[in-house]
Amino acid sequence: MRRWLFLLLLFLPVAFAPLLPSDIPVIFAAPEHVLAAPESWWDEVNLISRLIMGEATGEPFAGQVGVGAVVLNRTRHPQFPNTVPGVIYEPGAFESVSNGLIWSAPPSAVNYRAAELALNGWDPTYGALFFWNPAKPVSPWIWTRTIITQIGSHVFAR
Amino acid sequence: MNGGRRDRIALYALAVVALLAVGFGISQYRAARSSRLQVTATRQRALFSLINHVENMEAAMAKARGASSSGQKVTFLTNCWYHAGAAQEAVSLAPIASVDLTRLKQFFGVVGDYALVLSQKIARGDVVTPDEWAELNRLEGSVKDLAAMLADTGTRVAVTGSRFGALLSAVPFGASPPDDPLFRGFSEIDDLLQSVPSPTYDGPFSEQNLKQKPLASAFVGQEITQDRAKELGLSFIPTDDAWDSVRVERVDGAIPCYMVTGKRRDGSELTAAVSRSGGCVLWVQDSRLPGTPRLTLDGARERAKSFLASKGFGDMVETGWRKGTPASSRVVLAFAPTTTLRGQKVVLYPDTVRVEVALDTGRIVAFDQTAYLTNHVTRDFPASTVYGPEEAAKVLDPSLKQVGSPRLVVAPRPSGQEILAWEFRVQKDQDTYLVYINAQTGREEIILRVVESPSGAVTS
Repeated sequence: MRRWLFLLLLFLPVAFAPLLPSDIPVIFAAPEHVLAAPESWWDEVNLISRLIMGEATGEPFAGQVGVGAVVLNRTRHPQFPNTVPGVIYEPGAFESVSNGLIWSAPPSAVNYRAAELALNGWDPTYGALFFWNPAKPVSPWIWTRTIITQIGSHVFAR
Repeated sequence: MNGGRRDRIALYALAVVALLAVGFGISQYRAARSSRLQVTATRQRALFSLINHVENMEAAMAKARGASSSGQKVTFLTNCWYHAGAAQEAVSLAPIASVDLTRLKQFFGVVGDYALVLSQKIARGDVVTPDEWAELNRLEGSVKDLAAMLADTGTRVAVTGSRFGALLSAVPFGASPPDDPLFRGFSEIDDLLQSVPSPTYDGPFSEQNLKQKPLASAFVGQEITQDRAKELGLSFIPTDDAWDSVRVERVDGAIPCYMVTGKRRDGSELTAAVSRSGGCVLWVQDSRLPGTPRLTLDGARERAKSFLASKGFGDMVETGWRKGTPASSRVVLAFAPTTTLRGQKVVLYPDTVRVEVALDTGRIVAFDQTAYLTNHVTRDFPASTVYGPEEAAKVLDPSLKQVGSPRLVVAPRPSGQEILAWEFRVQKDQDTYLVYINAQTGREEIILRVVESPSGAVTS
């Protein structure tokens, strides 16, 4: 009898797996003020603020603007796609897109503000194309890039 | 008896659970297989689209060289640029992590840019030199080699199939690369591109333009102390805010500076970058989110102007403004400085400074003068070759209606090269444009459309 119960317990998680949260990205509803502006500019603000949320939550404000600036600098470089969605969704380009973090929560008002500043021309990275956290394991290749500046825990390089 | 009944119930329950698990497993397997097939189809499509676009690039380059009229040359060169962009997009969609495709993407970017720069030269009436055509011919040879290699790879993939899934992940360091036609094909292409030199030209993607500009040389003067940086950074925008904590970081890199961050009790922070040489404040960003807007746009404009005046900026011309949304509680305004050339006022677009004003209190919440500090030099345009506004206006299409009088400006070409131009504000049908006529050659150089809405006046 105990053996039956043991087997039952073993199968239970499998049977109820469909009821557990799935890893399919869920797009949260955009804040109301986003819907108020139909301009396509907002598509870019939205996308960049999502990436900032995924890549730079907990970073200083200037570091958040820096992540937005990197996206825009990439759109002006031949090695990268020339549109904001092209850069953000480029396979393997950003960890938060690969692991679904950018869809995990709505961006904060500060993330939006950082994205707007970057789109309005603020670039605290002076033209950086890459950023990474030196405290985390990264590809050795990334250290061959020329470091431009450091903001918070991110190193920005070209 | 009771024990036997319990056993039966448990057995049934287990059978139900097992059935559910098997059903779930099958549905998951089907979903995974369907996703895998979709990914494979998308990547196959990207590969074959890539081959198609590269072949079209090569054909367009050949036709541009063979065309006799300027119109035809421009058409084919622009066509090459279009196919180069589409080819680069196709490469971006094929995540072949085990081969580095950076060189391939850069190649498409540069060849497309080179073709576009030549087409723009022809369109504005400049002469494309024999050397520049020879360079196009040389690039065309590389595109032809690339097309052949890609076509070969495509054939091998079509005939033998390719383990697309295996290429999704990077090859671990030290492991042998996968024996796959796609991997082999792209590795050979990468080897080929290593030996292709970049064209020498003046365009946004030319080698000299992609290099990081030497920014530090713009800052001269004695090295300031951390305490001085703290003082300069936090007082740049006048405030009586109390700082809960202040952090000063020494940052090396393109512009050696001190990053000064003052944190308020509510968690918002103000950061300023202060150059170590001379103590210039490059930019300031305040993360505070303004409350309900009380100030009008004109009120914000006045605040921005008096702030600039307080910082010693002379005559500044507003060049645009933008709010996040019409109801936003902050507005960014852009201002360009002016200079004088033979008694004429000249607006210097490359030296634009940006000011963000909070519409609740009228405080400046962000400021950026990096471009001003690194670009603002005395420009040298031979005054003898400057056209007058009447002469420049002759270039304008007669159907365009001029609004106001033209002004002399220094504007950047897409390559960053500066030109002295007459800026005409014109209207046609429902649209307003800024048309820039080169004041030294008399040719039309740049056309911008002015987009005015309740959330801004910007150009596109």
